Order: sequence, then structure tokens, then C-alpha cells
Amino acid sequence: MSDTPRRPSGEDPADPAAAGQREAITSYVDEVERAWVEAGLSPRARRRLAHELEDSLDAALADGASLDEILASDPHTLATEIATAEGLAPTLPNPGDHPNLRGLVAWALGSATAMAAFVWFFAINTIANLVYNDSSTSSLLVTLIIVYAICGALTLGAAARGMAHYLRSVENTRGTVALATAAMAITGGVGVAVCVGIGRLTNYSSAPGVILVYILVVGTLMAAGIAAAWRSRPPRISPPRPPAGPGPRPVPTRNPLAQ
Amino acid sequence: MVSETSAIERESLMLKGVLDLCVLAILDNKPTHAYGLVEALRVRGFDQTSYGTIYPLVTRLKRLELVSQHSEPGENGPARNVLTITAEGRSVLNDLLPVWRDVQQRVSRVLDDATTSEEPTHV
Repeated sequence: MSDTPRRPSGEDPADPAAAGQREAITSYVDEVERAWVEAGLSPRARRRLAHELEDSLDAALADGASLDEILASDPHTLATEIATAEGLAPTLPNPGDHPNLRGLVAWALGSATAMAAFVWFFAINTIANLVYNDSSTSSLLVTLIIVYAICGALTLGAAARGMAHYLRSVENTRGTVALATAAMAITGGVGVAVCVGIGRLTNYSSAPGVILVYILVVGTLMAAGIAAAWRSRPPRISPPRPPAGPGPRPVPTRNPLAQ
Repeated sequence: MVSETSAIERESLMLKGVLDLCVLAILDNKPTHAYGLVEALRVRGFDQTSYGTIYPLVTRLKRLELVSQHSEPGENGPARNVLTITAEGRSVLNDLLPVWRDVQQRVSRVLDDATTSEEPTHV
């Protein structure tokens, strides 16, 4: 789960029993860390906690505890208790809060609507005014293009920020957001180009039906781009590894002295 | 008949808050590592105490600076994190001990009276 190995330096790599115990502990800590991921803890916090927990479990093993007893607590419960004890107060996500493709597409459609409104209001409407009023000058066009670029970048930045918040509990949030933002920029750009073409064909009409077409074109393309990015995103969490050999498995138990 | 699970849950509820006191008292007597706390509690009758109970509790006590931790090299294994009660922890322990004893006496008085009296109680 963590990027850096958590293997203690004092372990004898030639001892298969020790290796089996180590793997069981690593698997258990991965399970605990997975619960922290789901609870929305920052990568830095959960890696620190995971390192501390693994060190402590290793030390307990060295102090005479059996593997059975140190892995007896339900990892999910332990994760919650440790994070609460640390003052990090994790909240287990509701199913509706968990990032999924449906939510992401809904969010993308909302962003696309904003983008389409931007395209119509700023770009097409202004170009139409310039064309019909015949008042365009090269300096004005350059200024407008710069303004559009800034506005577009701000819109895209705000959308990416919203996506980063939505995907905050996903492994490799930055990579996923970068991928989705790139997809959104490309598909949004294609959508804008298509809309400008439609604007030309419709004589830059501002009829509600035409505006709806703009929204649908940009929205559909961006949703498709987002969906493609979501499907090809970096793996969220590695699947849990089964403990090696016949070693004990964590058994969910009621913690009798839970605080 | 109270099921075993139910009895454990009731004990868990009763011990909320008290276990902190026990851990501080054990550490006041002698610094030890986290698993040493588990063993010390088990020896004194807390058979159900697990590492999963003690670890979050110690984490909280460290955050509250009632307990400090330092690393000592292990004899044949990884380094041991030895826990020591801090001055603040000792102060809290000294504050809580009389409170606990007072509560314990009052609860005992109520339970003793209730279980020996044959008179119905008017509410």
C-alpha cells in the first residue's frame, strides 16, 4: 500500500517463519491503511500511521505476542480507533460520497454546462457581435482571445479543483485529476470547435434550441472524455494479499475494552 | 442468562475511560512497551485486553502528552518503543485516582443497598 517498504532492518531474510509473519503483518497493516484511504485521510498521515503501526506490531511480536493476538482486532475498527485517537476523526464515506463514474459524469455534465454557457456567452456571442457590427480590429481580437484563454483556464482550473476534492480519497489523486483534466481540456476544446462551427452554420443564432445543442455537444464530449479517463485511471488500491502459508487470518472481533 | 458477548460489551462500556487510568497507573509504576501494558492488564484480570485495544489508547495518551515514547534497541529484534508517563500524565493520574475511588464507593453503596434491601423503592 505504501510507496516505501516497511520492512524492519533487523529481520533475517533467510527465516521463512519470520517472513511469513512479516507478510501477515504487512497484509494486516495494508488492510488498516485501506480503511484510512476510505476514510479520506491524507496520504502523508496514513503512511505515517501505517509505519508506526507496523513498527509497533513488529515490536510486539518480538516482545512475545503471538501473531494471532496482535492481528485479532478488526482492521477497520482499529483504523477508526487509531485515527480518532490521533485526532484525525475519520468519517467513513457514505456510499453516495464514494467516487464513482456516475457521480463523475454528473459532475462533468455540470462543468460542461458551465463551459457551454461560457462558450456561448463570451465566445460565440462576442464573435457574432464583431461579425455583424463589422467593428473588429486585430488588436481587439487579440485582446478577446487572451481574455477567453484566461477565462477558459480559470474555468478548467475550478473544474479540476472540484474534481480533486471529489476524488480526494482515491489513490493517486493528482494523477487521476491530471488525466481527467487533460481529457476534459481536449474534449472541451473539440466541443468548442464544433460549437463554433455550428454557430457559423446557424448564423450565430442565440435561439434556445441552438444553445441547447451547444450544451449537449460540449457536455457529451466532456462526459465521454471523463469516462475514458476514469476507466484508464491509475489503479486505486492494490488488492489485499492473502497471508502466506497457514498463518492466522485477522478475525473480526468485538473489542471488549474498546475506547 | 446474559450471553458472553453481551457481558463483554457491558464490561467494555463500564471500562470506558477507566482503562486510561489503569494504563497511566501501570506506567507510573514502571515504563514499559505497548505489549507490556497488555500483559500487565491480563495478569490483573483483564483477560480480554488485546493489542488492538491498547494501541489506540496509547496513541491517544501520547497525543495528549500524558505519555511519552522513546526507542530502545531490541535484543534480538526490532527496536522497542518504551512508554513513560510524563509529568502531565502523573498529574492527571493523581487527579483521577480519588475521583475513581469516590465513584467506586458510591456505586458499591448503591449496588449493595439495592441487592440486600427487600423494600421496594419509590421513584
